[in-house]
Amino acid sequence: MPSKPDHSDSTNQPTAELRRLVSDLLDEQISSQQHERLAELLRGDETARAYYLDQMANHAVLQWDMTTAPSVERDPATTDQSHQDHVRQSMSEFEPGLSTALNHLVNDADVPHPKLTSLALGELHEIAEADRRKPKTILMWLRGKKKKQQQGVAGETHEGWNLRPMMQYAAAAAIVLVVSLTLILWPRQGAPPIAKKDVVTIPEQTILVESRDAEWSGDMKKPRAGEPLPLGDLRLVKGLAHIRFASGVESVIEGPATFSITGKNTMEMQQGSVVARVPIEARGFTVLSPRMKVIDLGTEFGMKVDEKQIPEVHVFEGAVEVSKLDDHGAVLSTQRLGKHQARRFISSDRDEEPVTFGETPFVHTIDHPELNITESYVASVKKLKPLVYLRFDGYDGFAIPNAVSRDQFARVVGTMELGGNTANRFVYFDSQTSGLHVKMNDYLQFEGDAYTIEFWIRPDAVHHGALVALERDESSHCVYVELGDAEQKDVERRSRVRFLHRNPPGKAGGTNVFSASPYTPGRWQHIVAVKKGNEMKLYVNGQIVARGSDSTTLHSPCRLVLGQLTSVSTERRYLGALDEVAVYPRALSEKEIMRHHRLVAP
Amino acid sequence: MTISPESPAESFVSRYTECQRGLYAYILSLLHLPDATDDVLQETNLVLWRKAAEYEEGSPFMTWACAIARYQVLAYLKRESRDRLHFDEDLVKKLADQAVSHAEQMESRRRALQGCVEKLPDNDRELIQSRYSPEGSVRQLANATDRSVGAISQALYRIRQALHRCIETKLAIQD
Repeated sequence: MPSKPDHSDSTNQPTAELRRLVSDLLDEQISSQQHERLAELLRGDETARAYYLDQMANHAVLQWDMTTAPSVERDPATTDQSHQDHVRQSMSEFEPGLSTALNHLVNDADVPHPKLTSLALGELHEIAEADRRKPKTILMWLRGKKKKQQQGVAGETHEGWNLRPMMQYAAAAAIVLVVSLTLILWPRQGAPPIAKKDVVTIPEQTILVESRDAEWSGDMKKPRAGEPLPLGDLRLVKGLAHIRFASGVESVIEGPATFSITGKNTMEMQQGSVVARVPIEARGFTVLSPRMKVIDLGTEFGMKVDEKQIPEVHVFEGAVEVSKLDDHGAVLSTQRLGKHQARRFISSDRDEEPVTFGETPFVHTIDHPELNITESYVASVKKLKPLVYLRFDGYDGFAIPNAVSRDQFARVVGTMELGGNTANRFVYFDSQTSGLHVKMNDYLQFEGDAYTIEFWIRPDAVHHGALVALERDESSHCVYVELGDAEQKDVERRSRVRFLHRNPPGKAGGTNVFSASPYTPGRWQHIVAVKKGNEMKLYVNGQIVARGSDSTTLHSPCRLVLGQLTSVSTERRYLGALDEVAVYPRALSEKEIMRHHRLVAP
Repeated sequence: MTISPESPAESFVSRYTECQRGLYAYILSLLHLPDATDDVLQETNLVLWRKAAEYEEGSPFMTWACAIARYQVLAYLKRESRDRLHFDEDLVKKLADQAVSHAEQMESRRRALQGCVEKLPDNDRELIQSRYSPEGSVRQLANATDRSVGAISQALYRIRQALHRCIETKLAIQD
C-alpha cells in the first residue's frame, strides 16, 4: 500500500525543510520556487499545516503586540508634535466633517473621552449616513501613509513622524467609526442603541500605586495611592513611591527626588533615584536627566541623579541605550549597556568616571508584610458558618480539606506550590509555568437570596486573572470575581476587581460591579463579594468599593473553582497568592467584613 | 460604581474589540503578507459591523468573525493575487478550516509566548524584539549588526523553534 505523503517525521514532528521554509516565509526571505514547495508540503499534510499555523499565530502575536508598543527611537518631545502636524496637514485633503472628527481624535487625546466620543461620533455618523465608503476611505488613507513609509528608500529610517502612533490613531478612528455604524444600524433592527457608556479607548494615566514613609513637597497637591499623578514637577522629599506608567512600566522612586512624568512612557529625573521594571510592551521607556538619557531595550535598570546632578545608570537585567548629553540636551555620544554594566557621567566635557555595577544601592520594590492570619480570624470565619472554608494549611499533596466539612475537599489540578510559613500557608498560582487550578470535589447547594465570597489575594502583577468562580458547568458561570488588566477597553475596568453575578448561568450577561480604585500588585488585599436580595456589594480591605443591583438569586448547584475562569478553561489564569477562601450561604454584614479585615491587617 | 448589564450593542462592541488580535492572526495565516492582512482586516471589520444584527447572541463570536474573514480573504485573492506570492484557493480553504481554533486560543497563546520570550537568553530576546520592531526586517537587522542576512535568518529560525517548543509545552500543560 502506498504510504500517505507525510511531511512530519515518525515522531509527528515537522521536518527540517518545512521548519526552514516557514521561517523564511515569516521573514519574507522566500523565493517563488520555495513558496511553491512550501504550498506543496502544506497541501498534503494536516500536521504540517498545524505547525505552519502555530508559527504564524506566534508571528501574528509578535507583530500585533510590537506594533502597538512604544517606539525605542521615538523622541516624544519632538516626534509627537511633528507627527500631529503632519496628520493635521494631511487631513485637510478630506471632507471638512471628517477632518474635524479626526482632528478631535488627534488633538484631544487628553480630553475626557465622553467629549471626544460625542464630537467625533456626530460627525462620523453624518458622513457614514451620507456615504458608507467614506469612513473606510480614511482608514485606507491611513494605511496608504503606512505603505508609503514601508516602501521608502531602502536603508532609510522613518523620519518626521512615527508609524505606531498613526496606527493607534487609526485604531481609535476605527473604533469611533464602528460605534457610529452601530448607532446607524442597530435602531433599524429594533435593538437598543449604544448607551451613553463610552467604548473609545483612551490612554491610561500614570498612577501612584502606593508609597512608603513618603513626604511630598508642601507646595504641591499631595498624590494619593491609586490615583493618577499630575503631569509636571513632583517632589518627593523622602520615602518611596511605587509609580505605574500608562505603558505598564513599574517604577520605584526613592526620595529625595525631583522628577516629572512627561508621557505615557517617559519621565525626567532632576534628582533622586528610580528603578524601572519594563515589560515587553513598554520597551522604549525613557528617562531623561540633565546629562544623561536612558532608553530601555527591555529590562530592569536603576538610575540615580545625585544632588550635584551627576547621573549614573545600572542595568540589572536586559539592556539599555544610554546617551551622554551636552548642556543643551543634545546627544554627544550613545552606547549600549548590557546586564550588570553601569555608567556615570560627571560632566559633558569630561570622560566617564568609572563606576562599578552594584556599588550604588537601589530600592527595587516596596516590601509588604506577610499575611498574618490569627486564630481569632479563623474562629470568626467558622462561627459565621460558611459552606466552604479553604485554608490550604492541610494540603496533603492531593486535596485541600474544607475546614468546615469533613465530607468535602478541593482537588488540586497541577503542581501546587504553597507559600507562607508554618503559622499560615497560602496557595501560589504561577500561570507562567503550570496549569494549576483548584476545584471543589462536589457541587455546592444554595438556598435563599444571599451569599458571600471572601478571600485574600496578593497578585504578582496587573493582569487579567480569575480569582474565585462558581460555575454551573465548564462553560457557564453563576458568579466570578476576577482582576482586570491594564488593557481593558473600558478605562473604568482597567486594573480593577470585578464581581459578576449571572443568572441564568452562561458565558455572557449578568450584572457586573467594578472596584472604584485599582488593585495593588505585591500586596495582600481582603476581597469580599456580597449579594443579598437585589443588592450586590464589593468590598476591598474592609471598605465598600462598588454596588450593583440584580434581582436574580444565585443558581444552585454551583462548583467552586480557584485560579482560572472555569474548571477546564485555560483562560484568565490568576498569577499570585490566594488564601482563606470562604463561601457563605448568607450575606456578611459590613461590620463583620470590617472586623475580618481588622483581625488580619489592623 | 455600578455598571448595568451590557446591552446587545455594547456586548457586540466588547466582543468585536476582543477578537481583533485573533482575527489578525487568522487572516495573516491565510495571506502571510502583513500589508494585505491589514487591508483584509479592515474590510472584514466593516462587514462585521454591517452584519452585526445577524450575529446570534451566545454563539461563538470568533467563529462567526472568522467565517466572514474567510470570505473576505477569498475575495481578496480573486482580486489581487496576480502579482504576489499567495497560496492557491484550495490550500487557503484547508488552512482556514484549521486556523479557527488557533484564533480562538489566541489569548492563551499570547500569554504563553510572552512567558517564553522572557525566558530567552538576552541576545535572542533582543534579536526577536528587534525583528518585530517597525524597522526590523532581516535585511535591516543584518545591516545594523554587520552580520549576513543568512546569519540573521538562521538565528531567527533557531529562536522560533525554541519558542515553538516552549509554547507547545505551556499550552499542553494548560490543557
